[in-house]
Amino acid sequence: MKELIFINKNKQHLDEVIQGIMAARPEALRRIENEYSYVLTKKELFADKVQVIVNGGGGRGPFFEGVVGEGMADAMVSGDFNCAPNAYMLYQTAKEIEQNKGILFIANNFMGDYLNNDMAKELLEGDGIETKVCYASDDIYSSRGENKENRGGLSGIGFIMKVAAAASESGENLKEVHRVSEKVNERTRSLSLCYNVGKNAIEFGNGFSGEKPTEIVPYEDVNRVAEKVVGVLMNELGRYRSGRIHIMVNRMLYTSYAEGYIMLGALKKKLEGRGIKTGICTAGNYFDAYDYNGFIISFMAADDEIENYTKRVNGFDFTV
Amino acid sequence: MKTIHVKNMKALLVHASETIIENEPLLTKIDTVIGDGDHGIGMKRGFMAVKKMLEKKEFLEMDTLCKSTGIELLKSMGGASGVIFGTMFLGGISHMPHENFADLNQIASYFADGEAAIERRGKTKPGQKTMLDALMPAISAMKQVAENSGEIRTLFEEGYKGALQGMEASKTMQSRVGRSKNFHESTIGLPDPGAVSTSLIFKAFAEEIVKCEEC
Repeated sequence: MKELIFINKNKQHLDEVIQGIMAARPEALRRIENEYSYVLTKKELFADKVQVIVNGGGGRGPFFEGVVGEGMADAMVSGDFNCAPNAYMLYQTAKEIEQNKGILFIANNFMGDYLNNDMAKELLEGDGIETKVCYASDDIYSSRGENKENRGGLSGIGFIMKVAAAASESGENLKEVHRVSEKVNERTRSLSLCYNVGKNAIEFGNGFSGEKPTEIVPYEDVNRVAEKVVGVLMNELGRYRSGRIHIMVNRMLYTSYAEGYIMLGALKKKLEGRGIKTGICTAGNYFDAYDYNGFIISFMAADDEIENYTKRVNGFDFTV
Repeated sequence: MKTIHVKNMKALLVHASETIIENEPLLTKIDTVIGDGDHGIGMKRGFMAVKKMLEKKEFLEMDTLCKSTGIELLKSMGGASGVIFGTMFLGGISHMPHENFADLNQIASYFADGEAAIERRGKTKPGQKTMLDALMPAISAMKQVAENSGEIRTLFEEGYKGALQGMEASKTMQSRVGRSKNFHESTIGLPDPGAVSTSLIFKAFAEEIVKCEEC
């Protein structure tokens, strides 16, 4: 990864990330060694529970290396940089942690993630292990004039993971945990926005693989940006906009802690100004696929059922 | 010859592995423009694993050889390419005999069913700017040689010609699936990276088959 400085030559940087995480949390985490993928599981698994495995291509984190723990995933499997983990390792990880209650995979809706999760599901079902997959498709700019099913995923996967964890920890069966996960996905929308210093403009809809922005607007201040974001996301939420809006502000690599909270506050104020109820609000550096200055902003419109599961969540932070 | 011996099939696969490994920079270059840039690195990782496995093991049966190749790709690659190229070698495995040789029809059917399995799993069809656009014409060409009861050498040579034509044709297509669909019209003009990989695999088969004894 060319954007990282403090890495070692000729080493797999993700491998070294995992080594570091294990140094920090040896009491909580267990690593499953594999030459081609990076796997962490909880050290102690709840027995008699649907096991939730979040997976995706590697990046700068914390998604996906940092998402294993109580109230989060039971395991994570990460592939190489920007590359979905292989089906075989998903299968192996599931086999190691399953507790006779089935497996829920949660992945972003990209072709590689789909193919590998789909194949892993088939392999597990062949062994008699009930398996379902929830694909996050919250990225509103990722498909032009297509259905939500064709959209890619961004940080909305964090909302799905949290609710799936809460549902599975409260003893729901696989069918229920999957249903409520799909419901969260259905009610989540995200967008990316990046500051272009040369143009002093905000670019909406850059993809993390270099996809061009959908719209470029001159930059004035955070309030104007927040106003625009609220307008776009609420419009995208369509018939779910009457739900309580949970806000996740995800800072990109070059955006500060301070700016994250300024953006979060501005969004909450704009929503409330429109008479919209807000729920849990969080700002952090979670899904760092972009080496830009900017944000991924996710809104999740919770109904009573989802609201009930988010109540269990402490502080609603997303990572260890 | 109307058949291929397992030791020659292994030589074909070793040469295909070397060809993919050598061409990683080319594949990465194309995929960086119209994809997420991981195709070349993934293919290299997969075929390095295959090459290592092939060099370590002796194979006496065609099905074991081809199955091991597919599984190695699946285990090492990840991404969309891992499943797709793994399936290319696994999807038609029932046509490969548990013997030390395979005939024209078995080879053609093996690749044809691999292609069908990729279509099923990926919910894609030729014409959407994917590796299928190179694989499909390769299979049509191989089938024709098999039907006309040609030579095994011709089967692979014609297969390569088909793959090459298909890869060239993918340049004129706009991507409809995978990450590259997000690049819309700008995908026109470049070949699909997966189609390039497919044509490289068949190129290596065609280059190697002429060197094989008894072919």
